Amino acid sequence: MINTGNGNPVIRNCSQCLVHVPDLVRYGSKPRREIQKDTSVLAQVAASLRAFEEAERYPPNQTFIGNLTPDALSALPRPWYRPEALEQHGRPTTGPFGEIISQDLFYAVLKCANVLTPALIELAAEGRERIEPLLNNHPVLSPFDGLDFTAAGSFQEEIDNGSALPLYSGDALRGCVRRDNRAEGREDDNLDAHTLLEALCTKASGAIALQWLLHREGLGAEEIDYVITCGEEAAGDRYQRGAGGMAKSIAEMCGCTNASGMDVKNFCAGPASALVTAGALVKAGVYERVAVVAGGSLAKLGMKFQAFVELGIPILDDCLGAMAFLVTADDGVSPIFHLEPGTIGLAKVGSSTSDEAVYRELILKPLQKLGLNMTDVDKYAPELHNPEIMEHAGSGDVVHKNYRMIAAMAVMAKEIGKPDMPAFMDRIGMPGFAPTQGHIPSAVPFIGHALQAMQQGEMRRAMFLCKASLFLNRLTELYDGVSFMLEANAGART
Amino acid sequence: MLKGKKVAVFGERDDVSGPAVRKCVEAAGGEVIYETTSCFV
Amino acid sequence: MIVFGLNEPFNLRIMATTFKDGDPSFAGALGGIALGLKSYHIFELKDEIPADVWESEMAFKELQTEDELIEKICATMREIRGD
Repeated sequence: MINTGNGNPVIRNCSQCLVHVPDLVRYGSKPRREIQKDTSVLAQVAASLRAFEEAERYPPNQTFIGNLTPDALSALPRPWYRPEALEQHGRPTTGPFGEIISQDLFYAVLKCANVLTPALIELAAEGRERIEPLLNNHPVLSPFDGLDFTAAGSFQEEIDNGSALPLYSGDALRGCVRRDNRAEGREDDNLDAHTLLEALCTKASGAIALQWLLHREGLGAEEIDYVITCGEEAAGDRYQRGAGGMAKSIAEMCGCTNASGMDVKNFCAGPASALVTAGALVKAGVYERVAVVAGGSLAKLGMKFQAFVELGIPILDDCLGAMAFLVTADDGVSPIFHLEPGTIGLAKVGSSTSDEAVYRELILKPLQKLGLNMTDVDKYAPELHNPEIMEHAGSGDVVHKNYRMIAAMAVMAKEIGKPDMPAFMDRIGMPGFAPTQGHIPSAVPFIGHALQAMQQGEMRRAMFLCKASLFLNRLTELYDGVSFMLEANAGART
Repeated sequence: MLKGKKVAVFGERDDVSGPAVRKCVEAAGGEVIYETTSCFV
Repeated sequence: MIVFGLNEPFNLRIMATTFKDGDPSFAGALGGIALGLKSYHIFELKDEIPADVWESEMAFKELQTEDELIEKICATMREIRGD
């Protein structure tokens, strides 16, 4: 077998899942703040939620799990949420990359994610008949344990006095999430029910993604050496808010008994930074099989809900994202993850806030190192936010703006003329198809599609461009960027 | 036109950022007294 | 005065109107309060900015923004100022 990998690792497999949680939208940051100001907003939110079948058949969601290619999505007329658009294909819950998980199944996994006594999550016995079989009969997730139920009456008082938050499916009370009521937890705002629900949602959705990755790869959990997470949650108590531990908690939940792990934080560029770290660990021979896991963001649910309510459109930002990637040494088949010196694009501190300087470092420098032109790359994956979510809220099509930026860089590099920008964008671009989940849309939802196309010999190179609004931490004015290149393996090409 | 003016700057990460607008305004003699950069994602 | 870097005409209209005449929805801190502030978009101020600073901070932005969008932004701002 020809090996042109230069000792580089490969991204061997992925899982890309969505978790449809309409009744958690009220706990997203924006809806929660608006409901606190005016309780009638809760009824508006409730009236605008989608049924599971609608979320399941929604073409961008089908693209996320791999049943549609981004090219096929771009050929579908918008709006994609129209009933006619939903009718255009079946409603498979599973796709080549993963699954769209229903809310009741997610509540079961959320319960399994609890390790505390007294439990942080309680599920009502009244919902047992519905929920229990969903987990126990699930082909991928049934190994999760810890599912049990209790009478709703036993926690109703905690919901009434505000120390626990109710978990609903429509009108039915499915359970609750508690604050840490133990002596050391009682005074800590970082351990209230809402903050813990954020962390538990990331853990549970991340565990779903890792479990799916193991399933797709046919790999035993104990064969994973290391897990790196890259979410935007901040788990920890008052002395170490945001200190991490997410990766190891997910590894534990999935039975990765031989693995340890750590959390990589880099705002929306977290997945890219985590993949680079994983790749470097594999290339250096420190670990053999590293899983990069991205759980979903509760805070970003319903971020744009007001526009949807106003326009009478269903709330489309109603899903948590969940992804996992397996990085291993070159197997001769999977796409090569370029990690030669200088091939990872980074936004240097010295580039300051200048977009031109940053994009030269992110796009042109790595390509120069690889001896390539911008036009040698088949597809560029920037932040892949679903435009249907962004545009209605007056935020513009972020994907389009990114492609304008990429095309402008090709003009600066004198590879194309200004009039060629639209045609160049058509060739190297794709529509956004990921929910507004921060780090989740950040280029990496294209990995599943790239892996598939490269293994089938339909694509040679894809460049992934991730951006991170570091300035939101109020500690710097800078933003960050990370880029990396995947290339079809010589073994797969021949 | 900007010289000696007190200016509030509203930038956006994927459009023109607050710092980029600020640098322009200051170079033209304006005084930036408020600056923010939105991130819609 | 206000200087914007936002490029969405929809948002620009709401914000510039608010700074001039008060919040059009009569909600929020500026509901019913007309500050009379003039709003500009940075694209309108090119002639005011030293060329070297424009080149390093704005030229790339100008290249990547569609000419029609720049024109629409400038027209929106002019309209709200009443120029």
